[in-house]
Amino acid sequence: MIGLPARLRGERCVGLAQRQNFDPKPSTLSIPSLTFLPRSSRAGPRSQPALRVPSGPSSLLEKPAYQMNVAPLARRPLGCLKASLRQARQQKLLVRSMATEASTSSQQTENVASPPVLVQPGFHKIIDRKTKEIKSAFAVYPQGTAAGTITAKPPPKEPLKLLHEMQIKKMDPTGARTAMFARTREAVKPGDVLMVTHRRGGEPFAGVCLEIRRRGIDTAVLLRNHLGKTGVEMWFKIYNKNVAGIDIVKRRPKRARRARLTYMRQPKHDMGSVEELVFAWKKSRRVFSTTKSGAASASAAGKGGKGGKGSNGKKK
Amino acid sequence: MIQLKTMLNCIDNSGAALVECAMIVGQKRHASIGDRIVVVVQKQRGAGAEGMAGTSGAKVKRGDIRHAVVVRTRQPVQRRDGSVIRFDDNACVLINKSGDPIGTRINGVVGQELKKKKWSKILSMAPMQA
Repeated sequence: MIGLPARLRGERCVGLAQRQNFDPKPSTLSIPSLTFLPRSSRAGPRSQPALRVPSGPSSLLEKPAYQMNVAPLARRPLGCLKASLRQARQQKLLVRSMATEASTSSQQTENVASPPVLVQPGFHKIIDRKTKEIKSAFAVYPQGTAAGTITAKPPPKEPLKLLHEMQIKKMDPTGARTAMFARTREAVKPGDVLMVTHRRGGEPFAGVCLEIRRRGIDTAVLLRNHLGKTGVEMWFKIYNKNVAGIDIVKRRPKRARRARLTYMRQPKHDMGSVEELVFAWKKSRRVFSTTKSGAASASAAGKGGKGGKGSNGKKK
Repeated sequence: MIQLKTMLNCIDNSGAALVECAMIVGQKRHASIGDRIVVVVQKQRGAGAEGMAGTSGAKVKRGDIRHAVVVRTRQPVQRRDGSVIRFDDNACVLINKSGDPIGTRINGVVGQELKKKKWSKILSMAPMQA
């Protein structure tokens, strides 16, 4: 009873030893390199000697040949997976056919692997200090190149600003709208009463300007008015093509000391409807325009001030 | 942003003055201009004497549950061209189950989004739209 487990143990030991024999040098060979071993060596321990037998030096040569070429292959980026696979297949073929002639196979595989290493100027290799094999490799390309070609121009310093300028030039070729909302003395300021005319019909919307939001092409104004006892606020993009025109109905007599007049929403400060102001302005325009060209511009002014000239309102 | 318990002004002549949102029909988020909601009438119009139930033109009474269409919101609504509209109050117009307005007149501005949502009857009744 006591001897039986001992025997069992012995058997186990034997089995382990066999297994160790089965897998030659698992410590030195990495996993990817194992996959590239010739099929004969993977088959079993019996074929193992066939590989090892030829001679001491040849087997020595053989081992680095595997490890040098296979390890960098396995760690290359995914982009060249196809190429590396193809290479591996070739190598496998070579190894299969020339399993006994290890020296020639090593020479061949070296030729396959070395050209990219030598040719690339910025190619770096990381070599393991102990085993002297390539652990990893990478290439550094010079700046300003994409896929090896040198681009014509460096990118602009402020691309977004340039884009906005381009777009504004496209949407406002005359520069009138830009000038109207620039940070100048003549430009619109919060507190002025404006009227925005749509290209898509509808009544023009007039109101006191509460805020100017300057964001390049997205520059917009907030107008507030009362329509039938209800306060209505509207944002308009000034570079919008649907905005046919923006007129200054009335200037604020004194510059507002705030950039955003949101306090005008409170009942205490609310201006109420600007209808009367617009009406008076239209009337004054009609007076002015009749001196220049009679009924035509008068009717235009009546429509919502589309075609009038010599008035204080700016036409866009 | 009309949701449960939001109080809205009723701007038609159906007899309701103030209504409370009880449900949003057909969607799981808050209602905006042109959306259909279910409301409870909280205050009747012409409530000089509140105890008097017999106001002549009132088609709805306090406590009635009706459908309505939102026509104005305090929440800014953005349009396709980048312009944004915001009203100072939330308002609605009462409708029946089939979508016809209960009142015959609307006094007050309504949003243009109603056109997109195909409330042409309400739009034609409204004195102005913004």
